[in-house]
Amino acid sequence: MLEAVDANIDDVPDFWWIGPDENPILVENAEAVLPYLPYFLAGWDIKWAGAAPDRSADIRIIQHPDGHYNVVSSGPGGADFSFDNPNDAANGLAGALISVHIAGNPDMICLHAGAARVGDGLVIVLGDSFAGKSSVALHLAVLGHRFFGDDQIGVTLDNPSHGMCLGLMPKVRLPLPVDCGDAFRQFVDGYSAMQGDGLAYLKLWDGEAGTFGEMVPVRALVFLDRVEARGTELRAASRPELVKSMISTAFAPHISSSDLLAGLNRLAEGTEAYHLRFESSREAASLLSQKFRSNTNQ
Amino acid sequence: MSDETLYVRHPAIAATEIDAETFLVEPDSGEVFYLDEVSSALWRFLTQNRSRSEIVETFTAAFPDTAAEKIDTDIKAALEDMIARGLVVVRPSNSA
Repeated sequence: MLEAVDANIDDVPDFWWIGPDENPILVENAEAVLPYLPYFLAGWDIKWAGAAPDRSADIRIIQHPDGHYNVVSSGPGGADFSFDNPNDAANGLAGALISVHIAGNPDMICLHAGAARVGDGLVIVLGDSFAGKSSVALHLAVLGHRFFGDDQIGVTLDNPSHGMCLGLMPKVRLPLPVDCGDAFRQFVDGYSAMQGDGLAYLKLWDGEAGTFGEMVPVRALVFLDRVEARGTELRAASRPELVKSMISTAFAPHISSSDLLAGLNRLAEGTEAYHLRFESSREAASLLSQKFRSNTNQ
Repeated sequence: MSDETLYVRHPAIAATEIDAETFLVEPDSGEVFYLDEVSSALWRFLTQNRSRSEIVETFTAAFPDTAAEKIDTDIKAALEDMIARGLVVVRPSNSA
């Protein structure tokens, strides 16, 4: 049977404040994992919190003698995930930090989505796994729109709603599709910070991507539906469709179902919503760019 | 199910109408249900105790282009589903 041990030589775990000064997250025993965190998360301040802070940690990292790690988060939506190495544990820590950060904000939920700033607002793309969220958001960046987020986007339950950049580094699946285009291929090659397990993690320059905590009004929510050989088509989604889709996928363990429903209804009242049927992410992004790059509804 | 049985909304269920479509929240589990057209109409009708024959009669009058047998079948299925999910409760007929 394995026995959990701390990573430190002196067996006294260090603690770290990670995140914004006004609401930092306390992480225990993160030393072995922190060097890998910048591959997954950008813009989060990290400060040493000593060996004996006056409250319990929000996230604990447990390093086992066989080299695997557990990342254990507490509070609403808390979870315990196991990882084989410190790199994967850093990826898990990034997710745990975002979960704890969102759960500490009563007016915000987290969407499994990608986003880019197009015109004066955010276009947030949602969909199932492998729907093309990251790919469409990055193609929007290739077209010159400011990349805002990949995988997790914070969204306020307001009218108008605002999106919050959570600082997750964008990633794309490899190999790239043959029809992705030279510009996208050069973009991925030029910005790859790390590649492995069929993924390329990208690091964009400051100014080319949103930074952690940046808030932008939400212009549109777009539900992706990748269909072979059916062309590209954008059609309006109804408010009930929007609420129905979001209520089943939003991360909001800190909000009651009734409050979430009411909040999504508020959000839906002030946000355009669409279904985007597409075959090529490049063409999908081109259509979204044309539709939303003007600051007025078309 | 007997026609003598009466059906009514579970009083603890919270309903939200969004563009005439109905979402229900079960308070204990927090589960959110989206009602289709038939279930939504049924939910609106079950503000007080109703027998199945009364429900079918009302819906048949409201949807004259739909066969009564289909309405009966759809209502039976919708009631069973909503009872199973705790959205509708069953009352004995003498409680009307």
